Amino acid sequence: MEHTVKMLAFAGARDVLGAGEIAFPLAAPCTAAELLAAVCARWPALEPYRRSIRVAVNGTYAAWEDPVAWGDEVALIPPVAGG
Amino acid sequence: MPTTYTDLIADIRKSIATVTLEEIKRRLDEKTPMILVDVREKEEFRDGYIPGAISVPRGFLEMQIEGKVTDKNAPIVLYCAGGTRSALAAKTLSDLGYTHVESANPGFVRWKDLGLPMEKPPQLTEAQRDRYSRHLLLPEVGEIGQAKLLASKVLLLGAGGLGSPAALYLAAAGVGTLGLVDADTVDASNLQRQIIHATSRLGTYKVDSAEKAINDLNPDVKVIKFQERVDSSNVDRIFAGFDVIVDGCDNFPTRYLVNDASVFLKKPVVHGSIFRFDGQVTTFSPHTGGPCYRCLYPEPPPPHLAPSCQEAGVLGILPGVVGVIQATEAIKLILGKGNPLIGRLLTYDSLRMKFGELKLRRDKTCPVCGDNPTITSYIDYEGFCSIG
Repeated sequence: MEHTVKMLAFAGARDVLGAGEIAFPLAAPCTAAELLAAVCARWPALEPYRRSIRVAVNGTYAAWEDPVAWGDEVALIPPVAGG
Repeated sequence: MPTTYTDLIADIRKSIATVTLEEIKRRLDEKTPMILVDVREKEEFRDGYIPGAISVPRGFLEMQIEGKVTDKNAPIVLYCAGGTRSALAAKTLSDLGYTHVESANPGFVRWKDLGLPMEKPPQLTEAQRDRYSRHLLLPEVGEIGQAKLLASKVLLLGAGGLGSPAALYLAAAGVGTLGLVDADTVDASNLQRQIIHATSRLGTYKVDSAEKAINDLNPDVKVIKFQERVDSSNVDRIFAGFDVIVDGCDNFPTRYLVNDASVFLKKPVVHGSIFRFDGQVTTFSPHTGGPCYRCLYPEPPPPHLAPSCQEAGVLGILPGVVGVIQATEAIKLILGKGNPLIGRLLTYDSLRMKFGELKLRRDKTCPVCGDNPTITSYIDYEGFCSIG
């Protein structure tokens, strides 16, 4: 079985990924920052948003050095401002 | 069996415990645990009561007491005006299995004559009691909560998609002062979602249009209009005097300015934002320990990556749901009831009809609310277009 994380994408990030939920392959456990780098490498259209997207791991906004392991649920949350 | 009222009351007086007013005063002063129950009619209670007393009119005693006093062994002191109704009530409570019941002798009339301390419930008018009757039935609101709402001041940033439903519900709920900040005029393309406005008011300023709708809905509400854009020069003036900020603005520069002001001025911000079919709501209250917006997103994204509703589109109903959740949060903050969304981001996906929740953490290195803040004055971010 492939080693993956369950990735949820919100708002603009979902539009780029084309789906709200994706099984994203992860070669090895990493940090939240490394995960976002891998996601941006896979979807280059996300790269410009990289500085403003936040990653949540298992339901909590993560610090960039927080670990991400296989089977974790990670969420990509860009800020939205509309009102 | 007693045959007359005189016999009945004499028998009951023999069977119940009484307590003097002086003893009640002593227990209040010493904070001795007791549940004071005022069994007089609501109208009598409204004219004043012994501090800390709860009101359960004798006519509702059997029906309401178990909901209000769940511990049947709790020390209960009942009082009425002269000591008769409370004696009858004491008998009833003892029949219901309450073990530690006393009846005050005499009662509140004497208490008042002695000049002992009393409290008065907030005075609502007959019309207000009628208008807010469904609130008054809720123990979590009641007359005291409704009076809090009427005395409260909520500032709405934006009278647009989020501000429209929030303003209408806050006005309906009897929030006494609503501040409205919006520089724009009503455009036909707004009416798909900005339900406080109307076709007949196209072209008028949004603050004027919203004021009209609010006045029609609830004349109790005082509207303070700020027909301007929030910036670093006016944010302190606009925020002054308001208890809760409801942020329904439509652009990142204002979001960051509002956040920094809330940190500096120690005011809670109920944050709502929308994008196409998605919404997010949270309550920032950094002065009570929660995170602020910059703990989540330290800096605004570049302008060209921040599409507006005008550019990206939005499902018209979406801000209705999100704005009403924001109004709910504001009401809870004012009442001091329930669990606000502090440290929690509620996400709403209207297409998949899913609500989610993400935990937020305060960032000790946050540039504005962290331990060593680097932002200590307002920043006007440049380069953003004005968004409608």
